[in-house]
Amino acid sequence: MSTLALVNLLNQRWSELESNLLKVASFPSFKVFLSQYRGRQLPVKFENEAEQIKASSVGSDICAFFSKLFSDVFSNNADLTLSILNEFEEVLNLSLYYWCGSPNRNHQFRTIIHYCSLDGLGERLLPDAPFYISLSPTGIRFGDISDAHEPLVAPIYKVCNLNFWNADRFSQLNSDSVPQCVGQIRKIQREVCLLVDEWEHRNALLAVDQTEARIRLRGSPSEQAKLDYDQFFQFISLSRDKLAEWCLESFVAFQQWVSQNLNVNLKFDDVISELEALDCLLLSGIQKILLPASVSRHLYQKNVAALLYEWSVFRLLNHPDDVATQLSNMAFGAFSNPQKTSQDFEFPEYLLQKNHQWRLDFDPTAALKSFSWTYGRSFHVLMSLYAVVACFQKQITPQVESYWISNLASLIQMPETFQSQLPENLVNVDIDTEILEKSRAIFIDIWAKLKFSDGDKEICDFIYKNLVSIGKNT
Amino acid sequence: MTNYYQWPRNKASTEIKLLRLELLPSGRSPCEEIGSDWSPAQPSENLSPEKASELLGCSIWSLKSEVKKRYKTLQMRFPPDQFIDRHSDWRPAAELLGTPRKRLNWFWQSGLIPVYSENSEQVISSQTVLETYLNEKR
Repeated sequence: MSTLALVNLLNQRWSELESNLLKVASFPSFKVFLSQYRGRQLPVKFENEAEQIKASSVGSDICAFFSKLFSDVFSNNADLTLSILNEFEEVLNLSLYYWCGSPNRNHQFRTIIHYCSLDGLGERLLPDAPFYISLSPTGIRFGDISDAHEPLVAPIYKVCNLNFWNADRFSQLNSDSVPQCVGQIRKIQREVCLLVDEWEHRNALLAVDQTEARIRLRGSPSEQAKLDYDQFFQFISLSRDKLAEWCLESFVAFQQWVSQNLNVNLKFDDVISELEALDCLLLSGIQKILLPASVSRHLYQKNVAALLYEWSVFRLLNHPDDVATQLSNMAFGAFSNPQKTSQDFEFPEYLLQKNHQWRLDFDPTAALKSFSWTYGRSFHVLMSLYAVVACFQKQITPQVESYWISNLASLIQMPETFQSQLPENLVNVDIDTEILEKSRAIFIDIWAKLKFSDGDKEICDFIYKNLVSIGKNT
Repeated sequence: MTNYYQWPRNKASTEIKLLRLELLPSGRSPCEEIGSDWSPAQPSENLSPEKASELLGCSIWSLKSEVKKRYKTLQMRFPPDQFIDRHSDWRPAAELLGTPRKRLNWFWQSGLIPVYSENSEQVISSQTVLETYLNEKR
């Protein structure tokens, strides 16, 4: 017996599970709750006792539904393993991600959990097996009683038909199949928008939780409160990383799909422009994933960097001269890939040809800012040199605007703005002096031809000093 | 099946969205916020309407004047809880949806999700997820 049998039975009994979730939908107090609900627990004012009793039974009904489901599939409990449970949990929670109780996007699984106060509620799954079921706003989890992991969710790309719409199918498009193909691309555009929406929503919820905890700490500072806060802070950081990983798995798959299909010799302009729009949308999405790090100094860990690196590799297939993606590729790769050596970070010659892409719908320095806390000093200087050279190569007149000067200065300053107690030099690429000096010489040459306004003098000195003198042996 | 995508949800971050559409001073890099902690009140978005339209090669919003006017009017006319419902009534003019990129950008900026009435794209539901899994494993 396997996950397949469980999912099959769940599919047959779906309406039964759904009727449990919809039990409270008609309550007057639920309608009020729904209109005020913004993703966080609110005080619930039940109209009468009957409402309250029914609401509090929803949790045990859901647990009972799954106990029955499992016992109907597993006549012998010993056959049930953790890996079966995990796989089932992923599929189930992805289907809950798509669940909506009424034509109102506020009416989600999360809403039911909060209205009925079910967060953390758990029960033994089967009488003789050591597994438990427990409920949380982001889904249902299965496992050991002490195991309060973030519910596992399969990435959304798995239900987006990417394999069916492969490069072969794209190359054989004819005027009859174009509408279907456009439908497929638009579906993915819609799913990416929804995914980014989910990311922003849940990331904002984490930020609100964190702010509240900080205010509590300020209200009653003590050793113990500080320890509690630190522990909570770690929990929030981990949740943000997990959420980013889940989103990025799909971003990577979609980027691979777009890049491959754009490389097919397509004859239909409609299809090409839809694919290009999706390509652009993915870039904006990645920018949003980077925001907590590039602006708010969240420390993304290696798993996130590895996924971002994969994304940059696929994007480079179609945009080899896009500075933002190239710098991203270097920044993510240095942290996530221990195989990288100094040679992988040689001066990118295409920067000197001046026709590279320097697009601003993705802050070209966002990736460097996000991961600058992982680098050693010489590596950061080298990366900053590339960003600065790329930017100045795009100057049409010698006069540089103050905006760019302060933007580049903040990039250079970035590592120091992260919290002070950080593990040192996670990236141990030993940059050859030769590579660094060559880039410096190019920078000095370009710098000499530029003009800056008098008001920027101090900040220009800062940039020059940091890029040219610091870390120099002689 | 009911298609619920066009309904925006009450987001924890709705206020931030408005903030970044209207109040991000042009030419300021988000990094000038150095030192401030991550907080929901921070106008942390890098994609100001100016930038987006400039870089996507289309003038979707008449800068400053029109965008601000539109959002300000909406804000003044409707209290925060009603704002979302009213906002969803606003639809882009046809010329703003001329190309896929412009169309997507409009939705992106407005915070709404694109749904097309001439619906050739598949709607994904909870049971689609289960059935997709079953089809793949069988």
